[in-house]
Amino acid sequence: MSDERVARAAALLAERGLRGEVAVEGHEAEIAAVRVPAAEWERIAGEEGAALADELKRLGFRYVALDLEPAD
Amino acid sequence: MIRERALEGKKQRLREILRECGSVVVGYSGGVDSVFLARVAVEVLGRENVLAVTGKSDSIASWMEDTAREVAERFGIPWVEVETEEMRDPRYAANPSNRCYFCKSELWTRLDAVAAERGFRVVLDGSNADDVGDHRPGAVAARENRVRSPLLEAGLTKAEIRAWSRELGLPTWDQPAAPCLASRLPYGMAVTPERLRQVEAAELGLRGLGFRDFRVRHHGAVARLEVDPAELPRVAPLRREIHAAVQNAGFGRVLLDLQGYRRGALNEGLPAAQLVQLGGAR
Repeated sequence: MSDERVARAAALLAERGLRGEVAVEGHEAEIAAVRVPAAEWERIAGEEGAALADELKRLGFRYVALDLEPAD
Repeated sequence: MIRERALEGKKQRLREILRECGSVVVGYSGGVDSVFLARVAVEVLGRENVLAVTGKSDSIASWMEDTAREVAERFGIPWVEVETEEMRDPRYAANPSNRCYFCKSELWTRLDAVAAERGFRVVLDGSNADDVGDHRPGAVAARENRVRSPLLEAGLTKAEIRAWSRELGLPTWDQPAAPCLASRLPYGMAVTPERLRQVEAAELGLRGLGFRDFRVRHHGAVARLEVDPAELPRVAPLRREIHAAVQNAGFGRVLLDLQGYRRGALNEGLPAAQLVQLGGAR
């Protein structure tokens, strides 16, 4: 189940033109941890990030969060 | 005009309720509501008829305890601390969704004993009119221990309490809500002193970086930060400092929730029936 969600989440990022990856975290695998290059941060830490979170939650995640360790 | 008259009526009602009580022990956390209630109680009943009591345990952030002490000293509110031992209760430590029931049962039992020993007639809490309807198993414990809620009884809302607190010069008037540290752990994750210390250390770090309204949610090796949306733009420039502060508290991975801080986030995704059932259970 996790692998399927990760692939679909990565596709959603790509649809928005975001380079990044998604991992699953949390003791119930309930968190989508999104890692993007630091240059994308300002874009994602705001309204666009909240909208992305809504989409990722529909895949079955309870929380969607940005990894503070950048992808680059 | 009508709103002002309504507010004046609520203020009058609050004073009447306090006079009915005669002498009171106030459950005093150092938060907006309990500080306000203790301050007004002293004004209405006199210092000799009021005792503010703070429950001291690992689940209370040290800065809240400091606030409680400082405000009591500055405003002449008689104040004591009592140790509470909810951490020793396995029903609390297991962290079910009605965890607050066991914590508040312990607190109100202790405060009831203090009131009896010192001759105070009534124990009060700081619940207000906005608290009705939330998932609040702690309110069940208050009812069972005959704790009165004068702010709620008078119909005072949080906004009204903040405004009146400001008029009274209370430094807590704009203080963000600050529930106990155990509220940062997902239901089902055992509450331990070590985990609470991790949360407190991480939150102190963020507070030191100037963040005001946020939570550090404990997910084992992962910390998930919920920051007020208005403060989110500050995260990117302070990323390295935030990361270091939270990792120093013992977390391996640091995540920033993309939807920001919202009240009751740990209830998200849980079936309502489960919350209600657990909320009413002992």
